Amino acid sequence: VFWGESEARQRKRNGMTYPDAVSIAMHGDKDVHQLVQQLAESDAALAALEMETAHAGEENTSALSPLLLSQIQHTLLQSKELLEKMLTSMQVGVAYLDPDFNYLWVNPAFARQHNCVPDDFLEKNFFQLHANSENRDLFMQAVTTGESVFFQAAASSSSAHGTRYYDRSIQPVMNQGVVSGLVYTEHDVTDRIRLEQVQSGISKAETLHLDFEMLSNLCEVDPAGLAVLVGPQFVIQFANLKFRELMLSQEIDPVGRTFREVWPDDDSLFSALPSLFNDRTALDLPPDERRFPDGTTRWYTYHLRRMNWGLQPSILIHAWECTEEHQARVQVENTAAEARQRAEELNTVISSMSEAVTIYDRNGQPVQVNPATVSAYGFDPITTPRQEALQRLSLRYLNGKPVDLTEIPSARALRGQRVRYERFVFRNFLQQDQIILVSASPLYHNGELFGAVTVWTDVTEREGLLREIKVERTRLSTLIANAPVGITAIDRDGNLLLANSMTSEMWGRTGSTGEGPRQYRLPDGSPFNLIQLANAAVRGQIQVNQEVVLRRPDGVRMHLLVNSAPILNQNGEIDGAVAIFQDITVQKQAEQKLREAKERFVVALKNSPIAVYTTDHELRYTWIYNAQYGDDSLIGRKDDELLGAENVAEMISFKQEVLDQGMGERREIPMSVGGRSFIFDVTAEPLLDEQGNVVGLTVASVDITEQKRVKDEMARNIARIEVQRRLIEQRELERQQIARDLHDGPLQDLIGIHFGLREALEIPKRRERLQKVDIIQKSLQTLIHEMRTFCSELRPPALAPFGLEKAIRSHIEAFQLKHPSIQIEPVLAIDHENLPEAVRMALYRIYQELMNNVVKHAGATAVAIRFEYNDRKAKLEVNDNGCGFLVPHDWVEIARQGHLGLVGVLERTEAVGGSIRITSKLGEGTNVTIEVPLDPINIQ
Amino acid sequence: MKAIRVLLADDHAVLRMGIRNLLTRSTDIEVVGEAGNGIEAVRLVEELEPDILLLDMEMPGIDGVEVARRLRDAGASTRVVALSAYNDKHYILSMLELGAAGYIVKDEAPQNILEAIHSVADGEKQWLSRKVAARMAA
Repeated sequence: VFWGESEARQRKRNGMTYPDAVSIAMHGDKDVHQLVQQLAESDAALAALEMETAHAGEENTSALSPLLLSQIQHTLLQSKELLEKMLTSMQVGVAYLDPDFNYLWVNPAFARQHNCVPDDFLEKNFFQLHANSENRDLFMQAVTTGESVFFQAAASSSSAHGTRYYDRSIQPVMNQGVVSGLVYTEHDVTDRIRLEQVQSGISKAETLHLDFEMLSNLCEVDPAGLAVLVGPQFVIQFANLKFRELMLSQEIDPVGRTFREVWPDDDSLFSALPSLFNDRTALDLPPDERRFPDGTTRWYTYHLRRMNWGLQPSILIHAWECTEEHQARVQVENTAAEARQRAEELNTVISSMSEAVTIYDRNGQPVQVNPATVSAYGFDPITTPRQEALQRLSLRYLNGKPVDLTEIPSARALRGQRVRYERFVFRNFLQQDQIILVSASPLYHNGELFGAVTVWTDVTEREGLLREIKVERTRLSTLIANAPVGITAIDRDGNLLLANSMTSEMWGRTGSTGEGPRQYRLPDGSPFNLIQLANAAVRGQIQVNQEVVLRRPDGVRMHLLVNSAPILNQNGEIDGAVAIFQDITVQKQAEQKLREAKERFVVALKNSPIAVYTTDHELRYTWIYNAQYGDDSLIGRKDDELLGAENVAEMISFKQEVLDQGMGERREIPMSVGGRSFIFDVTAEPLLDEQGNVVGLTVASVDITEQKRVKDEMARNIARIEVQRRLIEQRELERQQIARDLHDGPLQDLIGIHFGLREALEIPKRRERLQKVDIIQKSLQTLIHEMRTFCSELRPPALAPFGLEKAIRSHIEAFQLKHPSIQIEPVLAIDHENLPEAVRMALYRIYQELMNNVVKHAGATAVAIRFEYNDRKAKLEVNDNGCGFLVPHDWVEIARQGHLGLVGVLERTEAVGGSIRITSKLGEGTNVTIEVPLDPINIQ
Repeated sequence: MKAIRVLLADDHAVLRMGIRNLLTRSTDIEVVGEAGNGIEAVRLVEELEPDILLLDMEMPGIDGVEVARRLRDAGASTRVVALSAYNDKHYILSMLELGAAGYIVKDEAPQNILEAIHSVADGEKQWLSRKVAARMAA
């Protein structure tokens, strides 16, 4: 419709693509420009969709469902149709010219403005058609400078329509830096010009006191509604017929009434009026709706202009109805928004495809790529110069010959060919050769080719795998042919597909005719039919290790182990069956001999506490004798299968070691059986075959768990006794220290005071005697102070009556006086007498000891002390930022080294049934956490 | 003027005697009884209803803290002035919390005991010697 029938012809001639039309409109009249752009967007989206739909139908590879695709297409088609109608019905004339000013297309408005039909213009030269055109210089200017030219309100007269006025613009269309065409618009502004003329006519009429009727008649010429409002009350002084028709819902004469009287509900127009008297000379109002009593709603645009009616200020209202335009515009906006969203969805789908997708314009220039393309190419083909891109993208055939530029998939697609899944070699930006699978399709719009799309998939890995599979298959058939077992395969009808040489040997025949020997017998003598076996397999039965006795035609009796299974195809259906025969005649004979030897062993081992067994080289039990648990059910199985790999890891690694080194060894090994821990004294010797190869193990195993436990217990008790002894010694030392302190300090002082008093008594002069007593009293005071401190340290006074929290706080204060540089952060719960005294005392001593350690060993600058408790437990935590230490595992060792402080802490914790956790890292401080349960039963 | 009725509780007889001698020098103080342990102290308070109980903290059996607690729980009107060798801040604070109207550190007793009793009798709620009060503020 819009493009006209010759659109394709025009495009062919100029090489112009639809997106060019978009850019044409980029600089045009705002409305036209928006419409053309939306149209182009929906058109481009449609083209992409058509391509996608075609692709989806034929290749079945699209990520979008065909249903969704067709929905999107439908929506886009609708929006496109609407847009086309809009542009077609636009009052702005639009024409597109080539750089030589030949018309390529025009819209109907343009043709109408020139009294023609669109076809009259096509392929004609602008200046031939408009011989009197004075604007050649302006057109030339646009072509040479590439810049837009606007010229306004130029009159053009035509006998049929009187004088009309146009705003015109010439906008060059640039393509790769060259002007490839011109958009020429003609906007009919006759109405506006005429309005201005009318207005000046009205003013003039007033000034010249012209006949009012004449003025009215003049105004009726105007196709729009016209009214004049006068004075601050906006009294309607004049309204033409059109205005009445447009604005009035009832038959009243508005002249002489105020605006408010006539339209009491109209706020938007009314509110605009005062500004005309204040700060504006003219005002265009955006489309505004008016409701009418009959239920209809219509849309209007208004142009307001200030003027004078006589001496009074007044307003000229110029009103047009724009209901249809408005509705069309709203619909277009909605549809365009939806179309944009669909296009975006489509874009997202393409973006997320793992295949590299590239869309080319008809010149072979990439216009859209997805991220997979950029990462596959190693560069962005859109921003890379064409020549360089072609060079970097050079393809080769699989035989190494380069692909001519005219034969690359995109070039072929642009010639209308369809390329389907062809393989090429592509050297990527890492200089690695990749095998790529390429499809390419031409893109059509309205039957006209306008571009191409290519889809690349890197199949290097897949190709490699295919090659490997081929090699593997060759290997496999070699293996089957030379296997030491008979291998046969039949199809589902029982025809023999494969029989290797071993099969023929077993059957005593050469060649394979599909007929097996019929004289198989099961060990119990019943007949066994190979065909039956194969048929059973074809029916889906699996046969494992069936023992068969075969008498060959030459009379040799053979023991065979038969396994058979169905062959399934990809869909899980049975295609045939495979059967494997293993000659076990020799094993059978050896087994018999072994059985006899075993009897003798069993007798010898009866009533021994030892478990004796043999294993094969995979550590499967092959024979077992165990006085307590004698059980043949273990045979054929492995330790990890029986007990779980994590429980027997050490046992297995020990056995494996003996197997690998071929030398016997004895070791104590812990093992977990049924949740209980055992320790076994295990002796393993390699089991050799006749050639001296290690084929398994002979193992003797004794459960020494109980012995070990008793031994460990003893060791622990000895350790405990040692710790106790050291603690007792420590306490004795502490007592000695107290005795020494009392003896050397207070006792000596008291003796001194004692002598001092005696001396004083003998001083005859009262004054001197009193002086002496005063001195003695002072030293008594000092002594009291010392004793008080001493007692407080031995037993903090607040602890028993007021609780741990108070005792710790007192200690912290004394501690701070002695060590002001250490920052202490206590967080202490108030406990009063809530904890048992034993727990309080224990925690206090522990706290004291930990603080001693902080001073003596940690060299910390900060200590956090946390004490909390609830109904169930009390928790004390001391956390310092000192040097830390390696937390020992063995407390006995610590006690031996004389570090009895921590051992004492441990002992006190244990005594109240508590637990201790010490975490420390060298250089990162120490955290000690004690938890004591408060259940009275746990407290001794 | 009515004399202040004081009951002494201390397990050291010598100390009791010293304090009694000190107190009786003051004409407005009357020592109404002496208790040698905590149980006796509680019994005598109930029996004699003294104005002030001068209570040693460290006594065998039930100690001074427990005596103070029982009197508080029984709602006795007798006001307790604690007498202790300890000058531990938190110990003293806890004692005052428990309702003691005064706290005298024993080695300060001779100088302060009269002032303490008079102040408490006058309605002082938490009497401490200046030295101790200074320590508490630290």
